Amino acid sequence: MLTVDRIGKSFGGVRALHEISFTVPEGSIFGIMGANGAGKTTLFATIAGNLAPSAGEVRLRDLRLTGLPPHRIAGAGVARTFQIVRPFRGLSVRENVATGLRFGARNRAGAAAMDAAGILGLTGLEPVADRPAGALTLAQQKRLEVARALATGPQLLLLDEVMAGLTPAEVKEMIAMVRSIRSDMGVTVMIIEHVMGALMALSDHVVVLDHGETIAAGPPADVADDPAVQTAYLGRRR
Amino acid sequence: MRFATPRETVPLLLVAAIAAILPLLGSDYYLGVGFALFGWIALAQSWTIVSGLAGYISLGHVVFAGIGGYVLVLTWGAVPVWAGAVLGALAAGLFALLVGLPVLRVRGPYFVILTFGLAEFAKYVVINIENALGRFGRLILGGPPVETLYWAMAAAALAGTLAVIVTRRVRLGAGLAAVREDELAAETIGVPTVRFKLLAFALSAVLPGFVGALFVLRTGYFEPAQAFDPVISFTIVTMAIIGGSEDARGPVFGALFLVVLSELLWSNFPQVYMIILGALLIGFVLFAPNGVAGLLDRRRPSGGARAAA
Repeated sequence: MLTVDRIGKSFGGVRALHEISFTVPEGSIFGIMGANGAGKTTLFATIAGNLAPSAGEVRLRDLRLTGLPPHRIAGAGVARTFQIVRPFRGLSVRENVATGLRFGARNRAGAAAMDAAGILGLTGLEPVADRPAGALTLAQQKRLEVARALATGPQLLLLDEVMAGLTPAEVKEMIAMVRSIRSDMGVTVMIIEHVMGALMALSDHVVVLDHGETIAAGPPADVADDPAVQTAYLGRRR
Repeated sequence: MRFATPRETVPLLLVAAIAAILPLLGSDYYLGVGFALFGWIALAQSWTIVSGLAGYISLGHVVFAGIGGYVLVLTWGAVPVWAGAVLGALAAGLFALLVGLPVLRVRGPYFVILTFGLAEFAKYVVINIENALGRFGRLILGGPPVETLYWAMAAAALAGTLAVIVTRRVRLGAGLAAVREDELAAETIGVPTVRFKLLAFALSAVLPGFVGALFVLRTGYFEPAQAFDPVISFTIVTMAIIGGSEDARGPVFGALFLVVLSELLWSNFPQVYMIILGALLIGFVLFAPNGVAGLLDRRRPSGGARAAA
């Protein structure tokens, strides 16, 4: 459904991404792994249009996303969350979700067309729906990131470290939530996660980045055994 | 469509009631005070669209009033008076569209300074044009009577109040609230931020253009340093600080408060007026950042979370 075709991104002399290519199958949960600074969030930003890639292009089915402004990419059905949360702090949780519903994808097909109550229920934010978003705990703000993104009615949802900083119990809840987003809402999910166990448990397919390059790709079990991955994560064996 | 909430009905009814009552007092003095009051309400409501709803604080809003006044004197005699005022409003809106694209690229304090500089720039351009033409102030003779101007300005105040109320309800208002809270996040969830900001900026310029034309008709002459006086911009911001700028109540409260205060004090104790005004500003910034409207909400906690939904 999503094709990333030889994407590159440089900041001055720093090469953040280089020749990244992969295809995300429709209906999958697609994991992105990599150490800090590997380029994972930069990759999301180039897909969502927040950053223009220096090379290559991103396509959603037949639509070329590269070069479109972010709001058009959201209109095409791609939503992202922010690793460092960016809620509309002065608005209530419900208004945050309502804003997502009012904008977002032009074409809300099938299960993606949930209303505010459904989204607040799914993300467990119903009890705090009328509180200002800025007053929520970090775990709640992470869920609000997901809720607001879901409210845009996406076909493809990019989740950027929605589990970082959560307790093990909260991580469990989040895993269940991501699964139901895929199975109940029919949304394809790309997920960046530092919580390795969670990513391995969730993903059908994993890409591993290191210093902006793809060092491994495949089903999670194969990738975990890959020597290059173990080197990048655990250091070189002597 | 939802029913009107108090934060919508209160300012509308207040403006309508004042407009209806002042002429009954049977004195041109009250018509003059009402004219000024409605002018400030219209200016402050317009300012609220871009600065309150979208969070882009303009410190140069006088530029739109100045343009409106200038277009009126330029077209004086060539077109009917009302057409001159409408052309002034359109010119102000067009100017906002033209400068909006580059100006709205900067945020926060940079936008504040830029709008101030832009207004001063426009002022000196007009001053130099007038000097080059050998005109030092233009007289307008035979403008409409004060009653006509009064009702025209009352209509402008009502229009401005309605504009804020309607904008907050529609998709544009929801998008502007998102821009105010977090522009990057707004763009990412699908808000066409560039288009919305530009639209808000143009909307916030049209009515001030009309008001500026009426100001010129009332005083009977046009003088650039006065028509583009930055104190007008400062006063608008002061009214928003005192009244609040989250919804249509704030500008009405702020303008009413400041006009009444100045009528009571200005003629008798001008020095005391400035001291009191300064003290009030400091007090509001420190203790009531959302102005009188915010104080009312605080007393009634059901006032709830902010802005459009």
